[in-house]
Formats: sequence, C-alpha cells, structure tokens
Amino acid sequence: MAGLKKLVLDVLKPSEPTIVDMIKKLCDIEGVEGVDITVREIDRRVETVKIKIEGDNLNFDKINTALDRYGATIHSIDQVAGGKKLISGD
Amino acid sequence: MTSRISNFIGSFRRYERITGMSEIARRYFVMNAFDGALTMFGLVTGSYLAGVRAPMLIFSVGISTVLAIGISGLWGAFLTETAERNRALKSLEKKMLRKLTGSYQSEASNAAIYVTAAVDALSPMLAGFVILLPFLLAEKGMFDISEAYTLALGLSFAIFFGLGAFLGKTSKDSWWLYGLKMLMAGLLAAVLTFALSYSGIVASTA
Repeated sequence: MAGLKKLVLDVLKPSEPTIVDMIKKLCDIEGVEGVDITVREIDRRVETVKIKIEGDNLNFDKINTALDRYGATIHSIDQVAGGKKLISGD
Repeated sequence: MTSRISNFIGSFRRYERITGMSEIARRYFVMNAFDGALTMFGLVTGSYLAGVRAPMLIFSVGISTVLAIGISGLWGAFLTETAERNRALKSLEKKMLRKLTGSYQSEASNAAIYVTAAVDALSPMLAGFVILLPFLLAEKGMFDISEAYTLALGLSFAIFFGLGAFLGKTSKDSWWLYGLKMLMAGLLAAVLTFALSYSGIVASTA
C-alpha cells in the first residue's frame, strides 16, 4: 500500500514513562511494523530521543497523539519516506 | 473484565514509576496509623484510669476522635500533595515548554494525590477502629468491660509492634528491633498516663 512508510523524529520527552513503555505504545499503533528509539541527550527529568518508525501507511496523527500522551514534544521531523517502496540511500 | 483489571494494574504501575507515590503513601500509612493507634491507646488507658466502665461511651468518643484524625489526614494530605505535585508538574511543563494536560504525567500526578490522601485518611481510622472494636463487642455482650480493656490494650501493642516490624521490613533491618522501638512509644504513653493519674491530675469518676 502507498502512503507513509518511514518517519524519523527528534523528540523531547519526560524521563518517565521510559522509552521501554513508550515503544510498546508506538508498536500498538495500526500500520506500525518497527520502532527504534535512541536516547541522544539526558537532562534532569527530560531526555531527547530519536524515534525511527517504519510500517505501512503510517498514521502520523495517531503517532503524534500517542507521543502527546507521554508528554513528549516533536522538535523536528528529520526524515519521511513513503510510496510503494522505500528508497534506500541513507 | 480481566483486561480491564490488567489495564488498571498497568496504569497504576506507570503512575507509580512517574510519581514514586508508593514511597510517600507508605510513610503516610505508618505515621498516621501510629497516630491513630496511639491516640486510641491514650483514650483507652485514660478511660480506664478515670474509671469509665461504659463500653459504648468509650466507643462513641473513640470513633468521633478517629473520624476527626481521618478527616484531618484527608484534608492535610490532599492539600499538601496537591501543592507539591502541581509544583513538580509545572516545573516539568517549564522544561518541556508545553502544557501536560491530558498526559500520563498529569494523570499520574492526580492519582498520587488521591491515593496518598486516601491512605492518610484511612490508616488512622482503621488502626483506631481495631482498638475500639472490643468495646463495641462488649456492648453487644460478647465480653465484659475488663476483658474489653485488656483486649484493646493488647491490640494496641500488637499494632505498635506490627507497624514497627513493617518499617523494619521496609528498611531491610531487624524487624523485631523496629517493632520494639515502636512498642516503646506505647509504653511511654502508658507510663505518662499512669503518672498523671497517680499525681491526681487525671481524676477518677469511679
């Protein structure tokens, strides 16, 4: 199916709930096939993480709502990919 | 039904990780249960030395006192926790540069307020009620008044020791040593009450 297949987000989130909790929630979203979260910076009570999501026809609104429940803020959308197949090159 | 229960447990665990509410609730539980138990212990020893032999009178006075302690705990903890949790949430919002309304952090903060206020209110009421129970049963004719006094004092000491042992288990130190330390407070209260009685400050009605 065409549509959004890959998202790379730079996100600021509170330290709790942890990324282990967050990844479970993101994996439950319809269309999501894989999630990778990497901590880039840790501050007192908050952390900056890079979230890579791959799937088929990803629903950005649902992903954003899930992140919102975790008190997270999307700093930037660093990469998006879509269409019938993923273009490799990064 | 099962999924609802597991969802509830999951949410509660998440709230606990966010707020660390079980630690403060544990403190409130021991401190206020001890307050309630020691107050009832004082009421029972005072009543005995004053020559009160009407079980319903002791039960009624005791229940009113325990209710007052419970309401004091509820209000005090609710307002204190609301102030502290709101402060923490606002500090986090400042770091996140956004409002956290509707987030897990906000829900966890509210849950922590209600749980700690409930623990603060119920623990002294429960401890006090257990000590007063023999007088209610004496009124129903199950014991005579002297047995009710003996049982109430025994239950008081058991609660003091139990609370101390609980602290000992929490600290992973000797539970019986903590139990004995708590028991000392009850003995001190008893000695002071007896001293007041023998000095004539507490007059007997008998």
